[in-house]
Amino acid sequence: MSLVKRLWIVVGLIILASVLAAGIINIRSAQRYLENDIEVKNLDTATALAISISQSATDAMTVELLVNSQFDLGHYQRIDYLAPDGKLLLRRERNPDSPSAPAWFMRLFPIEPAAGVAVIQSGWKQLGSIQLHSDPSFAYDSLWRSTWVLAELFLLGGACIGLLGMVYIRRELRPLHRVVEQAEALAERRYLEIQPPRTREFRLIIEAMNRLTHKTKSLLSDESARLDKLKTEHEDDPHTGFMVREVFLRKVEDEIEREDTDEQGLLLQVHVANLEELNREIGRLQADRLIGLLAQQVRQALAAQPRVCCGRLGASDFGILLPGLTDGTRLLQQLHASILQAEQGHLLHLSYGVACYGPQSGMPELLSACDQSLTVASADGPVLPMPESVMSARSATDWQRILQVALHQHEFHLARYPVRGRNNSDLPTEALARIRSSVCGETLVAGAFLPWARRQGLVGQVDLEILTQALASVDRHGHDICINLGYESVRDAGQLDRIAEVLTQHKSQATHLYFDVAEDIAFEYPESFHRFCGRILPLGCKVGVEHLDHHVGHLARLHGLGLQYVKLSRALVKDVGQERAAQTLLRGLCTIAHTMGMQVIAEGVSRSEDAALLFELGFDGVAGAAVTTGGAPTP
Amino acid sequence: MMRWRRSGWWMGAWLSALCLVVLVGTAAPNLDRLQQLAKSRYGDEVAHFVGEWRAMLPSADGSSDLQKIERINRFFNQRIRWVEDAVLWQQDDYWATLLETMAKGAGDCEDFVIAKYASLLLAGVPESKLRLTYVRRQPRPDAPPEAHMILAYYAEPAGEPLILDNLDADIKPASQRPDLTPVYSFNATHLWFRGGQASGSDPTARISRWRDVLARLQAEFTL
Repeated sequence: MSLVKRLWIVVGLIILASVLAAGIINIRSAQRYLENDIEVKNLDTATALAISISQSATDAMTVELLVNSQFDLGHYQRIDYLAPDGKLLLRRERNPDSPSAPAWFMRLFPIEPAAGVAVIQSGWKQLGSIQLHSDPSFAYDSLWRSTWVLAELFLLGGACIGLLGMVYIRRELRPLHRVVEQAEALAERRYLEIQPPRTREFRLIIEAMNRLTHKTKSLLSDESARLDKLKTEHEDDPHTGFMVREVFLRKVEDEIEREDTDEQGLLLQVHVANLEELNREIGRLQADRLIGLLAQQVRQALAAQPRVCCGRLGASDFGILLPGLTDGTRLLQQLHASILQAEQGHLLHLSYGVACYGPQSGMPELLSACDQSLTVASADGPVLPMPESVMSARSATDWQRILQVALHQHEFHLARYPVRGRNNSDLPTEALARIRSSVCGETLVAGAFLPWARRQGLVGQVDLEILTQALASVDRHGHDICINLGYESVRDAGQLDRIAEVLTQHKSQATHLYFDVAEDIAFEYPESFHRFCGRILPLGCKVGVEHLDHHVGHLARLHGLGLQYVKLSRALVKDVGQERAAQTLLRGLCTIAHTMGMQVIAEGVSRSEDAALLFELGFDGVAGAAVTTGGAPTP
Repeated sequence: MMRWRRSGWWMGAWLSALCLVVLVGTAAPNLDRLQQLAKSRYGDEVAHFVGEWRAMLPSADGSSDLQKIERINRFFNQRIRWVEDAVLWQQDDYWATLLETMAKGAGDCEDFVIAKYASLLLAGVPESKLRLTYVRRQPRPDAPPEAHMILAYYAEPAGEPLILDNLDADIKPASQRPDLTPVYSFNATHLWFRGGQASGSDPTARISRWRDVLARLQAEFTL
């Protein structure tokens, strides 16, 4: 039973008790008052009667006559006439009216007034006494009626007091909801800080929970920072801040394998031809400084490019991954110009190479293609023949048709990839959107159609279509299912409203729905992501962050959002078997995520021995070829 | 129909309950305490007077009723002066208690009657034989009648009473007092409040002069 109900019952009992007590005292007093009143009246009437008889009666006969006449004309219940020695000479009595008050009431509050007695005499001679009784039934009636009035008044008053009491209790207990909310959040490892209320007890609880929250938060931040440092040391080249070779190659591989990213892109190679000479001529330190400058310029020149990443392939080679780009001529020229501008001594002799990748590209081929295309930059800048695009080119019009038809004909479907938990349990299946296009007769993956959908402002509609598919799938199979949402769906308030509306309409299915949000969206648009979680989570859905890699060190910022899981990018978990430092990093990550109440899932695990190791490190689930039976998605 | 829901009856009910406790708590005659009260309230002289009265008071079982009424009648007729209420109490009509009458050393006819009545009860004379009686007094046929009160003693319920009168030093049977015509008589026999058995009355609003003086007599440990 809730506290409010208990308090309400107590208030009710107190009011009832006080009303009853007041009522009984009241009735009791009224009863005494009535009794007393009748007694006085009896006495007065008896005296008046006795005085009048004494003036005119001379013998008992006359007295009897007078008593009779008085009784017959008056409203007495009984008049007794007694001789001086106490013997009853005459009794006149009438049956009392039966009162309207019930018998139990009369038993509970009896009105028994004493008789009025007065002596009679004639001259000096005593003629005896008269005793006069009144009918108490009218008094009972009066008492009964007033008891009713009283009960009504008290009931009304009690109800008013009760109402006021309830309002007061509600007002006083309002902070309790916040206490409960915070405690529940704590239980779900969401650490909320709340403004302490005025009520002392509530304030103490909330302050204690705030302290706990604060402590946990700072602990998490410290741990994250430590991991970030570890990751940087482990993954970044100290002179350039670029990824070291292995990490970069993993990243490229991830980009190629993932089907929700751009299908094609460019791999750019920058080669410093004279690094060894420079080391000899200007010293290693100066040469390193120069390389650092180069890296800085590269970063600046590419700042506007989406999802770009840079790696140091060797001492004098740098790789730049440009997803979604097919013609890099202009970019390359910009890059070269800004490097030259910064490095005014023209000490660096630079060569550039470029290769195009597609979904089927293999790493060794890609790297050698890049290497073979290396061309020395002339004085006018790099002149580089751009490689043929590996994908069949479709025009914007083609894409528009494909998308429109897909939306109208419901050609979207979900390719489902299992996610394996500990002890071979099943975690929510990951569902990737595809189009079985009737226009071109091909199955198109998200990485292919999503950039075009974005250009044509259709991502919102596509996401809604996917959501509908997912809900239908839940309805059919009853399995938990994970879907991806474009950043438009997270950032656009109108789109969020539409999603919430769909989810509200499918309340029971919505609880089986998991939303994967990419780390770029989660960390680069924290307000939007916060609003998204606040809107979606109460509807029963779960939310997690996927492709977590770059922002691993900021994990503590996800704090308080109520996320269900994080999915670590394959780039982060790929070579876990070979690298001890990676294991330390991942173990620490799992600890932090678990402290925050989140599950940790590894993406793109291809070897089953890696999966076993990951579980050992504390992971809660793995996805990828290692768990996909036969490597093919279940339709 | 009686109207009991008047303003202040709550207070009245509580007061009467309180009063009842007080009355019941002091409802037994205690002459030592009466004398103490006399001393504390009026001083040694009155206390001494009360002492004399106590010495005079016949014991309950010693002598006959006649001797008792003789002795008590004489004591009060000799020791108390007749003074009008208007002079003594600055009130039209005031019924004084035994102690008040002894303290003043004076009183009017009612005060004499009350003092004698209370003393006789203390001496063990049954209440049923005593009547406080309003009489019409006409000393001479041509004189104007005046209102008076005497104490009547009935040896037999139906017999002729003896008259204890402050205006006549001697106790005479009623037949020898042609100047007196009885109008009405009463005593405290049937007053329900005696013995504390019934509820207390509402003392502020509705107490008769007779009941008031009875209550005060009780409060002063006389009855």
